[in-house]
Amino acid sequence: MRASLMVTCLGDALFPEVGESVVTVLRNLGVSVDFPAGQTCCGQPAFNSGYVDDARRSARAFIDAFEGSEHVVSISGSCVAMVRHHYPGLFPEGRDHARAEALAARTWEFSQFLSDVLGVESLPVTYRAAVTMHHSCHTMRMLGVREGPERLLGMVDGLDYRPLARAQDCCGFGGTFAVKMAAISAEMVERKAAHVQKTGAEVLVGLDMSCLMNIGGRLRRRGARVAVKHLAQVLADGWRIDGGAGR
Amino acid sequence: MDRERFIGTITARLGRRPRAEAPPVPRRDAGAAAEAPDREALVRRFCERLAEVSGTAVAVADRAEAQAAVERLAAERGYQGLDCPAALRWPGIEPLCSGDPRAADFGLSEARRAIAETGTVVLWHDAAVPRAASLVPPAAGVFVPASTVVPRLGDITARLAAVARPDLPACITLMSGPSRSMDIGYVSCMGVHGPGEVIVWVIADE
Amino acid sequence: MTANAERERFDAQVAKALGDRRLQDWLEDFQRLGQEAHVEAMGELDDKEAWRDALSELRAHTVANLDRYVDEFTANVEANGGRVFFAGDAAEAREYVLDVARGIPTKRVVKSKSMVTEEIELNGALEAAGMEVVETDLGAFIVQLTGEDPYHIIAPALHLTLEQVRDLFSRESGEDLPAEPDVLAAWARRRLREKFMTAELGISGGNFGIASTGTVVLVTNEGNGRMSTTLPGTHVAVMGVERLLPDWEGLDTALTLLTRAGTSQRISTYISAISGPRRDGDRDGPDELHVVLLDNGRSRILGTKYEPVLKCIRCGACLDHCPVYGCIGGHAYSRVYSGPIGAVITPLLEGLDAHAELPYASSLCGACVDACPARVPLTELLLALRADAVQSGLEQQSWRAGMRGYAELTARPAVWDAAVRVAGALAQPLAPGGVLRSAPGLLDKWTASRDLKTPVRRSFRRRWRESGGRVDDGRGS
Repeated sequence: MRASLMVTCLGDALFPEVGESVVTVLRNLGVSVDFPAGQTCCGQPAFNSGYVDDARRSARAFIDAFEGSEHVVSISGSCVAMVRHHYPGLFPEGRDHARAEALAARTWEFSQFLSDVLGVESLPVTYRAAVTMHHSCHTMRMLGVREGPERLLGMVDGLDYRPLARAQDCCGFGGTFAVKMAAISAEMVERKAAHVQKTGAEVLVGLDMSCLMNIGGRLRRRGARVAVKHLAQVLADGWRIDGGAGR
Repeated sequence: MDRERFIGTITARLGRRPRAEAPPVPRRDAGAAAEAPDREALVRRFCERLAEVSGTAVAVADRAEAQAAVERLAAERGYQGLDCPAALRWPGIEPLCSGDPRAADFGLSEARRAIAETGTVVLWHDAAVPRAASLVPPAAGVFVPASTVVPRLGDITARLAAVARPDLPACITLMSGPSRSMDIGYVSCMGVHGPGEVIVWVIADE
Repeated sequence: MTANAERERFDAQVAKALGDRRLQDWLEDFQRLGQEAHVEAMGELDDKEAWRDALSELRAHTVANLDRYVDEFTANVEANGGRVFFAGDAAEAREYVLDVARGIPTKRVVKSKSMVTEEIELNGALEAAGMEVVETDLGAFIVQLTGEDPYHIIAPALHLTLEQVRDLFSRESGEDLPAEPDVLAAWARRRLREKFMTAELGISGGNFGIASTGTVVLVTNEGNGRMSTTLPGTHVAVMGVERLLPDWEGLDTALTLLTRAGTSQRISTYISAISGPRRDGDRDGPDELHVVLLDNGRSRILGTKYEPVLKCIRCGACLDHCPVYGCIGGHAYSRVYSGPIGAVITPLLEGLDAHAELPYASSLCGACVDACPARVPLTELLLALRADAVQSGLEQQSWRAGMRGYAELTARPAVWDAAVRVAGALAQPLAPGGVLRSAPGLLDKWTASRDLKTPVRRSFRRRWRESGGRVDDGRGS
C-alpha cells in the first residue's frame, strides 16, 4: 500500500516532527510513504474566513500536488474535512469537480487511516505516561472520528488514559477566529486548558495541530507541565523495535 | 399589505408559478405498528409520567369513587368554591359550585383523552369544558376515562387530523401537570400562573 | 445603528460578559446541565436521527410551498371566524396591532412571550399610544422590569441571579422579599393576576400555524400563554410567516422534537391549539382572534442559499450547545435572536452590513449542527455569510490583501519553500526557545493569552529533501 503524506502548512513550518512521526508509524505498519513536494496549504484559512476565490486558488494547487497519490494521509483532521466537505463545492462542474471528488475519497486523517483503512487491531507500542486526549471539532463532527483514537490509545502498553471532561468542547482555535475574536477564543482555550490540567495527565494527545498549538500555547502560558503531542508522536516514540522497551 | 401581494411576493421569491396541485407532504416512517399495550399498562404509564412532572394521578374503579374523592378533598381542605361545569356536576358538590373560576379554590374538568407517554390530559374546550376551570383556580382536577388513554402524542394528532375543521372547538389544551417555570435563578417553581397542583382521576370502568 | 457603532456595541457586550466571572461560571454550568438533559430527552426517542430527518424534510417542504400554505392557513383561520393580517414589515405589523388595540379600546395589554413581537418592537409602539403593556411570562416580566433585551430565546432572564430577582421584585413591590423562588414566583403571580383579569387585549406569538385547519399552536409552561389568550376579549397572535405546518401529523413531529431538543422536556406543560375566537355557547375565550403573519425580510431569504434557515422552530438548542454563546451570552448578539441562529438570521433580516461581525462570532465547531432538531445547516450558512461579507467588500483591506498574498504563496511551492525557510531563519534570534510570549501587530491578539509557537529552522519539506525521504531515521522502507 502506498500513501502520500499531507503535512499541512502548520506541520511543514512549525511541527515537522509530527510529519516525521506519521511517516515512521506508517512505514512501521508496512505502508510505503512519499511526500509530494507541490503541496503547501489546503486553503482552509481563506475558506473559513469567506475568501472563496483565494481558497480555490490554494485548492487547485493542492489537488494538482496529490494527483498521483493512492491514499493521502494528513496530520490534521480539519484539513481533511476541508478537502472532503468543501473541495467538491469549490469546483462545482466538470473535470475539476471529478478531481476534487476523487481526492476527497482518498484523503484520510491519520487515526482514521489506521482504524478504517489499515484495520489496525494491535500496536507494538509502549508509552508509560498519564495521557489525556482532546477531540478536535472538525475531526469528530465532520469526519465522524469518535471512538477510533481512544481505541488506538487502548492498544498502547503502560499508557494511563485519563478521559478529558468536556472533551467535545471546542478549544477556541477556529482559524482566524483565534485572532478576529481573540478575547472569546482566549476564554474558550482557558476552559479547555483548565480541564486538561484537572486530569493530572502529563501528556495531552490530539489529532489536529491547530488545536494542539492553541491549547499548548495556553497550557504553557499557565505554566502547566503538560507535554503536547500528536497521536503519531506517541506511537512513534513508543514503538518497540526489535524487542526494545519502547518508551 | 393585501393578501395577493403578500402571497405573490412569496411565490415570486420561490422562483416559480403558483402551484395548482400541492406536492405530497413528506411523512415520517413510523415503522411497524407497535402492538398496542393493554389498558392497565397504559394507565400505569400515564400515572408514572404525570408523577414525573409533579402531577398527582389516582386510579379509581368508577366515577362514584372519583366524585367521592373530590368531596373528601374539598372537605379536608375547607374549600369555599369549586369551578365545575354543569355537565360534570353531581349532587355532592352542588353546594360548592360557584360558577366563578376567579373565586374558586379548585377547578374540575373532564378530559376527552389522555396520553400515557407524557402524562398529558386532552381538554376539548367546547361548551361543556370551559378553559378557565383548568387554568384560573390554584388547583385543578381532571376526570379521565381509562379507555381514552393512548400511548403517545402521535395517537392524538392522528385523531385530530381526522376531524373536519368546523368540528374543532375554538381551543384544545394539552395539559401535563402543574404550571412551572425555571425563570427565577434557574430553580424550578410551580403554580406561576396556572394551577400549582393538578390531580387526575383515571376512571377504570369507563 | 451604523456598522461601526454595532461593532463597538458587540465588543463592549463581549468584554462585559467575559469580565464577569460569575456569569462565565454560570453559563458553563447552564450549558453542561442543559446538554446532559438534552441527550437524555432526545435519547428516549426510538430513532432520533429518523425523527430529525422527518422534521427537516417537513419544514423544508413547508418553506418550499409556503405560498400555498399561507393561502390555506388564511382561508381556514377566516372560516373559523378569525382575521388574518399580512404584515410586509415591522411597521405594518405595529400599525395593525395598534389599530386593533385602539378599536377595542385598550388601556391594558397582557403579553405572552413572543420573540417576533420583540423583533417588530411592538411594546414601545403600544406604550407610546398610552397603553400599559404587561409581559406575563416570568422571564419576560423580569427583563421588562430591568429594561433589558432578552438573554436567550427561551429563557429571557437567564443572566440574572436569584438575588438579583429578589432585589428587583422587592423594589417593585415595596416589600422585603426573601431570596426564595417560590415566594418570588407567588408575588409575581399575585401582581400579574390582576393584569390578566382586567386587560382588554392579549397578545401572543405562535409556535406553529396548522394550515389544514387554521389552528394557532402555543407551547408554554407557566399558564400565562393560556391566560392571555383566554381572559381578554381580543387575542392577537403574531407569527413569522415561515412558522406554518401542513397538518396535524406534522404537529406530532414538530412538538415531539421542540421541547426535547430545546428544554429537555417530553412535552411542555401546556399546548394550546386555537382554532378561531370563542364559539357560541363557550363560557370563555376571546370574542375576536387576529393572526398577524409577518414577512419582515423572510421572503427575501426564499429561493436563496439561505432558505434552510427558515426551517428553524426556535427551540433554543443551538444556544445551549454553542461554546461562543457560552462565553459571550445573549446580549452580544444584538436585540432579539442570540446564539448560532441569531448569528445567521439577524444579518439576513437586518442586513449583513449592519451586523458584519456576527457571522464571525463562531469557531465553526459544529456543536449547533449536531444539536439542531430541524437540521438547519448553521455552519454552512455562517460560511456563506462570510463569503458574502467578503464579496460585498465588508472585510478590511488588510485582511483581503493578506489572504490574497497567502493564496499566491500557496500556488507556488518553490516560493513557499523559500518563504518558510526565511520565516524559520528569522524566528531563531527572535524566539530562541521556539516560542514567543509577545508578538507585534495582529499576532499580539494571540500572545496576549497564549504562547506562540514559531517557525522552525528546518521545515518538514527541507528535512525530507535533505534526508532523501528518510525522516524516520531509515527504520522503515
